[in-house]
Amino acid sequence: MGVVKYHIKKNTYYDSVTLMLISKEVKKMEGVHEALVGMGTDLNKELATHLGISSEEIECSGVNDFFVSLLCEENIDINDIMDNVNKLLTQKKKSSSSDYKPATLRTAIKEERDSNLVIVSVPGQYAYEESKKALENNLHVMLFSDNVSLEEERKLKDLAVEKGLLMMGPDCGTAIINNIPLAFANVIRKGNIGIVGASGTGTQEVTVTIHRLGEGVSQVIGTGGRDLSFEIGGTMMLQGIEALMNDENTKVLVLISKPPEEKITEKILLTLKNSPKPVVVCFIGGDKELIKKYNAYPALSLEDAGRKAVALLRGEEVGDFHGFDTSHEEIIRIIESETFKMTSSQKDILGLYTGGTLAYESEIFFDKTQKFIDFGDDKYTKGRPHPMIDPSIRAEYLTKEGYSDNVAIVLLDFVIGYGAHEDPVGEMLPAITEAKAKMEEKGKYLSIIASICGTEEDPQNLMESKERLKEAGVIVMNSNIQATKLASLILDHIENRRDANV
Amino acid sequence: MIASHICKDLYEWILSCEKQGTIHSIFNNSINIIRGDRFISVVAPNKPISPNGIKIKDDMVFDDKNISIGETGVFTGNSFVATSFKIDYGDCVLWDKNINTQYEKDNLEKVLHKIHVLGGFILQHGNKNGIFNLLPLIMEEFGFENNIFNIKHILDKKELFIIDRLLQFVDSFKNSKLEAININAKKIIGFGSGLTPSIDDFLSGMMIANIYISHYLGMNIENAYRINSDIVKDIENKTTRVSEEMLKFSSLGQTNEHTRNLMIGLLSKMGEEKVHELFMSVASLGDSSGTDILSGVYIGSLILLNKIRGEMHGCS
Repeated sequence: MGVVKYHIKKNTYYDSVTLMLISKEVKKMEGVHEALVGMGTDLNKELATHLGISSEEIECSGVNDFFVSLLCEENIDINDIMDNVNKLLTQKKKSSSSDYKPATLRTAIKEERDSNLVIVSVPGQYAYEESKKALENNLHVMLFSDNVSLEEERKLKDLAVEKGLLMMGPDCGTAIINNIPLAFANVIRKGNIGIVGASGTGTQEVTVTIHRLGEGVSQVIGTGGRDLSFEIGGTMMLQGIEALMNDENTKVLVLISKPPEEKITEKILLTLKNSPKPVVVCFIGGDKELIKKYNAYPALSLEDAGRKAVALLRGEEVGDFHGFDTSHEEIIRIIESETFKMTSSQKDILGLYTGGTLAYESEIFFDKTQKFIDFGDDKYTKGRPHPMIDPSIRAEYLTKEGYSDNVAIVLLDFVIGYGAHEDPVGEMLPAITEAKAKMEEKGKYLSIIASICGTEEDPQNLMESKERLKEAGVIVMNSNIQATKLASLILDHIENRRDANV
Repeated sequence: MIASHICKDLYEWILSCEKQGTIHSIFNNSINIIRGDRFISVVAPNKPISPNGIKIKDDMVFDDKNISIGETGVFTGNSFVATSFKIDYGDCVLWDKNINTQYEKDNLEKVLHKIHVLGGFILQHGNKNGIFNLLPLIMEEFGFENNIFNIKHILDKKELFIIDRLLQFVDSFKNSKLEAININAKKIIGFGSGLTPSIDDFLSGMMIANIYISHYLGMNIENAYRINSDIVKDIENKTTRVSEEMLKFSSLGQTNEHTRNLMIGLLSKMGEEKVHELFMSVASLGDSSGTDILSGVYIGSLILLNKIRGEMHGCS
């Protein structure tokens, strides 16, 4: 059941930031069954009694007294929570001398006269006007919002081209401009590879690969997912290519997108035919021969795109990357140990993704009978943040569906970096442990394979995140495509074993 | 510190004679000074001025200024002089806390449309740490048309504790049952974790909507004041001092400049784009306070406007 522990501060008011930090710290602590953070109002005291976490001292507190009350395990020290909060508050003060947030674009421009780029993140119906205003003020735009009509997108992009500006988006989640990560982006070394990407997590995966191999990026320009549609005609990808061709710090270009419409593909590729700089094209699942015809380098996967760009930059031989970072023997060992306890009925893959392009890259590897969910899809984000910011929806799904009888493998992505949840791995670990335990209760074994899209410079601590996953029995691969291939090999192994038994 | 704005009523009170004040609380962006029944909030330029408030001109972090709780100072005609700091307000703008009725009214359909857009804004951008998760149940219980809050949420123990009381309060508000309003308000005031508990922010929004919408509809505004007065009648020691002040002012239709601008935006011919900026300004208040105030404005406005249009479903 646990014990009640509490902390009362007489005549103490905390501001909302502090209260939020205290609530978060409390929620993070293992062994806390119930918690209440608030002022000693009659209602809050009544609630504490209702929750079974009141005490005589809480009963005696007044409206101007702050209290935290917990039902928790004996070993929890409530003072640790308050110490952590104080540390976090001190860090926050050091990192931000001012939190001035202008409410309108007009006041922001007045306040930040030297800025030349605006990030627009407002509901779709207002996004067009805000972006237009920014372009009219000669500012580049990164439009994070979605629900902007194609007609509006076309008008904005035409205006941007007319003014020689970048109009990144709508629905543009990732960019790195002058080494500054914008929205969802990782901390990537400065370097000489320029990227134009029509897909957010696809671009992140490529930049992370480049960083892991020791190189860096000059500029990463996002276009928004519909840029290569027939209606938009690749306007911003063409603008991005031109910008990078003229950028002396960019030595190699990478273009990233899901397969564009055929006419648009050719339109884009035509600009590369006489390119003075090598270009790697990653149109995931797209026509590789067509890309070669225009003297560009087709990539087999997002990781392969990063690897090829690095090889071209270094003047090394450019080959296809089909395999794994891990040795063949190690892969065989993993396959055997992961399938050892599986039963013959386990034959399905469940892909639970927070990154749309990563989900797509994996999904096309398998036949349609396998279930892949992109939790960033509109139908899962209604009324709640994107799962890269709040991954709880995926954890809930795994605890409900992850141990269905036929599931053999769960494939997961973890996207870290700026914009992402502060600890996406920590959010999933209880669900992972529960799903594995429930399968074990049924005499089955659930294999969970994951990759983390991130660098060691990201705020979430990549190495520690990997170790925590491994400790929970998760196989962690270096990229999404390697995780996908491993899952595919495990599935083949299960099938072969079943055929042999028949 | 130089002030840019001071509440006109506060300034007139100061001018009536010299007074001493004591620092009550200190935060990043504000300090509160108390003198008898006056509770004076001094805020940084990024925060809206509120009744009994003073707004400072230059960006600053108050809790870096070595100001201490309990420190005293004197209000003179031009400045507040304490041991460790001084605020000059002799040359600043006088801000009127009273309700603003000087605007050109928009037509009812357009106002209702803007209220629905406000609902969409809360749904998409609302902070979920306060009242947010209870909105679907309020919307469902009272059968509002165009219910966009059709999201499924399993209530936690704290939400289960308050939901029935909240629904009872909203029901008495909707039916203008004065005695029940007072009884039911007492059962919910002070619920929530913040400096201004979530329910209090929600009630503040409802009361502000009550006054402004009543005026907009040309109804007898005294009825709205009477309802609000019953909500706040017995709040002494039921909630924090900061919240008590906010609720008392809200009952008179007096609120911070962001919320007041929002009401004008919703009811006047102001364009949607501008109104959206006002949503964002209010939403930026506190942690969940802004969303809770917006939610109160949203529910309060829907009740009153739908009552007039006779389009409430599911109840009389």
